[in-house]
Amino acid sequence: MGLNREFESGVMTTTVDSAVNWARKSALWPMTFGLACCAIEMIAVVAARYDVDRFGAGVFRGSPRQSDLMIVAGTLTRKMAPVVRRIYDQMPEPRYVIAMGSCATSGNVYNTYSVVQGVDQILPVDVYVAGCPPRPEALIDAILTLQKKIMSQKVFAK
Amino acid sequence: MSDELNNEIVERVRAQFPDAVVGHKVFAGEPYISIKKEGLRDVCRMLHDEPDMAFDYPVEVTAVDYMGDAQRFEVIHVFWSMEHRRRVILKTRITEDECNVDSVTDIWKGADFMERETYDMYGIVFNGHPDLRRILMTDDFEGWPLRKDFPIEGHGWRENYDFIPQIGD
Repeated sequence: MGLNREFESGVMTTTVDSAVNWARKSALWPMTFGLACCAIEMIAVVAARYDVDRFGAGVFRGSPRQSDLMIVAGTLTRKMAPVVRRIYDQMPEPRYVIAMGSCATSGNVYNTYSVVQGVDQILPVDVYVAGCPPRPEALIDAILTLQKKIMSQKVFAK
Repeated sequence: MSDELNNEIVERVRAQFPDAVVGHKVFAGEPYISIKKEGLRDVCRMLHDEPDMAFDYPVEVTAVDYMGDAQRFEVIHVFWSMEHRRRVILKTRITEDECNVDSVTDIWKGADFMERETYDMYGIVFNGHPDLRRILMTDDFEGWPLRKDFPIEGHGWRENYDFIPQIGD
């Protein structure tokens, strides 16, 4: 507290970690990645009523190379799985994954020949969202949870 | 659509192909005709070409797996006539050892994808199909998923995921 008084007004002290983490969490650029009906709720999150831009995650990109958050919204099939993995590999680090909905989390009721039983079989997942489909509030909560997780990460001191 | 009128279709097919027809019924005003595998193409050709039949629209090509029966699979063709506004259903039983039936893609081009799907799901080969590949599952998929003896817990790929490209971490 005594330290603050030595600086002029408008200057604050912090750590490099929290400054970098704050920058990362405040501008999450998600991938447009709707696989099934969950995508409709994801679209609702971006639209005016829920407006995820308030939390800094509203700039949806069409390219994995410009985005750092993959929201896997929907059922992942055997045919789509290699594509998802390839897109994930194309994203620059640091990158985060939200498994949105029961299908992306666990395969839901589709215990069948064609459905991957959760995207965590092929990708590291940061946040899981329950629901079929989840309400937009649930996805916003997942983004806030992810932001908390980002703030707790160590950037330089590993 | 009255039963008598649709019986006309059955009578017509029976009269023209007495050896090919195994049996028939009329249910809910629509004729179901069981055809021998050998006669399927001739019957289809007649149903398509004759002006009083004029079944110009292939509604569906699919199959049913009656596991345990001597003639295990039943291939089902549903056709609709736009002109006469009526439907006909053909059923063809085949065995597991001779799991093939003649393609009708040269009569109705629209049967192409439906025959591919039936091949994909049941492994039934359509003789004379121009491009018989899997359509829904990947080309390296093993097995026929809608057969009754296909394991419900997947078929190996769910255990190791070795088809996923391993780049980076």
